[in-house]
Amino acid sequence: MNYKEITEKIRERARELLATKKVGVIIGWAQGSTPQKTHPVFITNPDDVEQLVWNKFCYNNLSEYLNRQEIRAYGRMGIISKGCDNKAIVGLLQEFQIEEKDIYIIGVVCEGMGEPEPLDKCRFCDVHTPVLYDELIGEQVDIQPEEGHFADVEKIEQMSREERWEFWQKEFEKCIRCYACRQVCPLCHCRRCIVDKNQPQWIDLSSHPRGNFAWNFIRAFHLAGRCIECGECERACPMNIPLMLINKKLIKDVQELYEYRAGYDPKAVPPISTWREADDESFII
Amino acid sequence: MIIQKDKLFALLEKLKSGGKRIIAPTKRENILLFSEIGSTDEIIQDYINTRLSLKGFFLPRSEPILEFRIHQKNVEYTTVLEENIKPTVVFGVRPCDAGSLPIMDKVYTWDYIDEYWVKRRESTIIIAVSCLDCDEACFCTSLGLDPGSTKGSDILLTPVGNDTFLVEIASDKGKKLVEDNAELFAEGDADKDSILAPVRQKLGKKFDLSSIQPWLQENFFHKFWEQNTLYCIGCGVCTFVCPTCHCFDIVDEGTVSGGKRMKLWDACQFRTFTIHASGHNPRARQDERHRQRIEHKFNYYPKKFGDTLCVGCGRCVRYCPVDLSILRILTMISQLSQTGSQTSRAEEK
Repeated sequence: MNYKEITEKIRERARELLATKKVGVIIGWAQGSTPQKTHPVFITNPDDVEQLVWNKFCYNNLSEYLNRQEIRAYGRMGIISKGCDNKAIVGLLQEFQIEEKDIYIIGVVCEGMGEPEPLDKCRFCDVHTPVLYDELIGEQVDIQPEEGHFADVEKIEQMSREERWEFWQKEFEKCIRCYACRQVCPLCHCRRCIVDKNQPQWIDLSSHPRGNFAWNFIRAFHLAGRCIECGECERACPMNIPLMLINKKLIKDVQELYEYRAGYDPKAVPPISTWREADDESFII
Repeated sequence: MIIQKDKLFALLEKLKSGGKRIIAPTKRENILLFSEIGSTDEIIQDYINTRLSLKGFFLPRSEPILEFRIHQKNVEYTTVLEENIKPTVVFGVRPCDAGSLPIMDKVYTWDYIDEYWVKRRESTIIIAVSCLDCDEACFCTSLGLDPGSTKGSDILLTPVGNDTFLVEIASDKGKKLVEDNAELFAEGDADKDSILAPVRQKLGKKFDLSSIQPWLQENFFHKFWEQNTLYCIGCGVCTFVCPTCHCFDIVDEGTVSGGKRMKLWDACQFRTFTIHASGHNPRARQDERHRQRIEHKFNYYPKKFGDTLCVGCGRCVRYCPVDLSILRILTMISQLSQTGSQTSRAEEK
């Protein structure tokens, strides 16, 4: 199926799901302010489904909206879901943020986003067909992920400690603390983020090096074993900070230490959320 | 009057060796930002606009305003101001960004004189450069500005080809700068209108500004907000890249023995912006927070200060992670006001 056919199918399914009241809202993408952009859209009326589109620019991870009170108020949420976004739904289910009965997933087979060049994440994608769905649109495609998924992380790992420090200092110097990384992230779902707690103020809100390091590292650590690699934080960052380098480093570590990758199995127990008596504690001084 | 590029750069070098901080568009870690230059070689000249506006040189992202020390029950403090004020020349400012400064002067000199803002404004010279190109996010012409407007500049330069700039003096500060360095400037003229004609045509006029405020005034509860702005994710990108968003927060940073009182950018799109100590949030929904952004810029601020709080630089359109384009919102409002579509109070949510 081509983009046009998938768009038609999405509209047809959305219309029926809304008309039969199987869902209260369809979360999808609509044509954006330029031909190279789309924006998220919430369709509640079957007559409005023509707004829905599917093209090379459906970047936003819509799973972010599943946890928002304003959207939940519409009733059961139907969501158009490509593979990478879909992994976030797995995470939200694992962490009891949503229940299966609250959502209806229209999975879409995705050949990769971005034009003329695909996004970096799409080159290493192994979920062109989503893992979790109530129904699937599109025919399965056989696109193998490229080699060298962690090549950029390995480059940083090979640096000396001083070089790494300098690299990150330069990158974090740019951080303006707009929290786009947090807001766009479907797994950053704390009702009260640690930076919003001010009695005491755990993390400096200033964008000086201390505040910026604290913020970016706390966020990264908190996503260890949870980040599903949708890359939205890096795409949203207005200052082009390579946030996925940090997230990918943690993905790599979790994979090596626990043979676990987030976002593939809603029944799996995430390693950082569990504990065993026999766990190695030798790292504790 | 005209100036050659080599003479212009010589002027900047001269001002620099005279003790002024020179700020210009430069590439920093692959993004174009205004930053202090060591040499004029660092200046980038081929650009639509910088990622951040020059707002941060008057209202820094974060800065200490007070230092305090605590000894048992005594608190000593010292204010921090003078050392943060540096004589500065900003070169390469686009007319939209320059135009934002007089608009912001109004709020910072209204009931309270914000010394930080005012002293920095006084000690800064703005050398703006007219735009010969724009992108699809630019909309200065829809706000009464122009790729060659002098509002907020001390000197406006318009590139006229052959590494030559047409010079327009736009303030007393600009006049003095030219008089003090008269040897670098030369007699000459150029047809600015014909040079700017192509970019003006490309910009066009994207909506009718006069229709926006009356509609906002009447449609606070319109379904429009829920339908078109609820997908805002509540980050601070639009406000932080904006040259006219000026809200700040005050927080203390430190330990039991002392610390600093910091002034930080804040954003009305953050949930915590309006949350009360009781836990009640008068802007509980994200569409309400986004409505605030539009109402403040196009209704409340013009009503109070006579200026629209937007210069059409297009940054928020370019960098919004979810493409919630203010240009699209304003265009839709302009169209709605023409069709006379208004919800009655009975239809309000």
